[in-house]
Amino acid sequence: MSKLELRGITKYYETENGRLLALKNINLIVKDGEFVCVVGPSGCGKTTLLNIIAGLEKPQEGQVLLDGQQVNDTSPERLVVFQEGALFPWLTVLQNVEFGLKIAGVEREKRQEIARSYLEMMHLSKFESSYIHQLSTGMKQRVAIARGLAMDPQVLLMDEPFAALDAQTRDMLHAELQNIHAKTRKTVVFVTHNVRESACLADRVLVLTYRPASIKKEFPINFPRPRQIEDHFVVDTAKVIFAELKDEVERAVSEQLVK
Amino acid sequence: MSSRSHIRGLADAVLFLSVLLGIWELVYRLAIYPTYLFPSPAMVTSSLFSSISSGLLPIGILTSLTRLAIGYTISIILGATIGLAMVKSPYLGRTLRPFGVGIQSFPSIAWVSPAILWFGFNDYAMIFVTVMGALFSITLGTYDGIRNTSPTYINAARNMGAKGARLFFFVMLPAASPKIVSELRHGWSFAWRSLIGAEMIMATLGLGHLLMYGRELNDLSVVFAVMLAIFAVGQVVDRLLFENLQHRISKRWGLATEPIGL
Repeated sequence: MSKLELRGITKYYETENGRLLALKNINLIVKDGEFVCVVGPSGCGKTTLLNIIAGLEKPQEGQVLLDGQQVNDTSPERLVVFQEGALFPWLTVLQNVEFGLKIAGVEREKRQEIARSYLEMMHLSKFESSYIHQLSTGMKQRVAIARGLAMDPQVLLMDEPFAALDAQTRDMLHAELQNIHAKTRKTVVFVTHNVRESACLADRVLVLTYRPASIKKEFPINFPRPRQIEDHFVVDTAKVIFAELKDEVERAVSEQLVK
Repeated sequence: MSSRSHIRGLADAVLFLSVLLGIWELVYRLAIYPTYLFPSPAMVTSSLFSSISSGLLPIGILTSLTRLAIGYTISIILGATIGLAMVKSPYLGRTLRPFGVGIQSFPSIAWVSPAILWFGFNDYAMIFVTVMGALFSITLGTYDGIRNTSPTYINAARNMGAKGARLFFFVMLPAASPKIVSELRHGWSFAWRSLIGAEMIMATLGLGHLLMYGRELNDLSVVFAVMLAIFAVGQVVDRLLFENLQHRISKRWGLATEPIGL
């Protein structure tokens, strides 16, 4: 069943050097409960694509459909976990996780109960009264994920959430994320430039071209879960995906160097 | 702050003040200057006590603080309102910001002349000068603080369903709070300076007036005693009102926490 659908999404920006075409005619259907990874070179427009799905940016052409209904504005049903977490430094961990529920008008006791249950899931119960700056980068991302899940979104949009983490913390969070996905069966769109990460997490990997971004190729990944980043099938699949991505990365690097 | 660093800070302060007093006393005893131009610490202390017991200083402090409280409150209300209007209207923001920055470096004591003509020699004139001293740093603090809210915070909040008043009160205002509090603190010190200046010129009670009174009596020990009172009031208000607040915010946000000084 289709959960999320993108139809002919095209996005450009007017810059000093003329029009910059960021996304060109992107069509995509994501099934209910599917975990889709989008990989592409840095600066190719992955974040723009995610922001458009979230409704934080508007495309010039095309539509975003959720359960067959066109969506225009941003809404917690399509919730973003941002690259740097985007947690609020003036709130405690618990208050951060509660934030969206408070906005939604959920009463205090109920929302604290929900927030605490997700903090427990992310092994953060001990830190509910801490402030954000007291946490490590890995803990911050776990809070961000808990905050996302607490809103019980239809689709979870993750924008390179593990890019700033060290390898060990990242491996641990890969395991936790797979665990959560197995438990909640959330539909996930996960953007990354890390090919191995995509092969480890996804049901399907989409490779984007560099500027304008369009979908170059799709790779269904059917290996059993839970997977680990060093599993031989993950490594082998990543090689195949990377071969497809390599040209785009080279183009990105050469264009960015010329500038 | 730990109690150990408290004690250490106190010890540093006592040492510093002792050295200062020592040098002062030494210069006095060398008798380079006549006594009426250079009173000793003991003379200033006795002036301080006599002006306290005569009620001169307490009344002066009370008068100045009342004016300051009124002027500063008006500055906050007006400054926050103008600042928010500038956030709402890009035209106002574009035009008022450079104007505000310019007028902030303008000596607010210059407002005394128009104030006397507009209001006369009275409290209104002095409150007006006080407001002009503090208004623009509070206005710009509000405006800059809110406008520089990280777009990521705003996007995250909007994505979680916040908009309108709730986006403003739950996200933009707290995000701007470090900047706003630091500008409130600046605004307060500008207000204090402006008021003392205005009182010196208009000479109607208040600490600024007492400074001129001491000069007219040719009694520098009174002048120094009043200066000490001005210094003390400034320090006490700054500590009580702002330092704790700023310290709490810094601690919460993980900004630099150890305050410098006493």
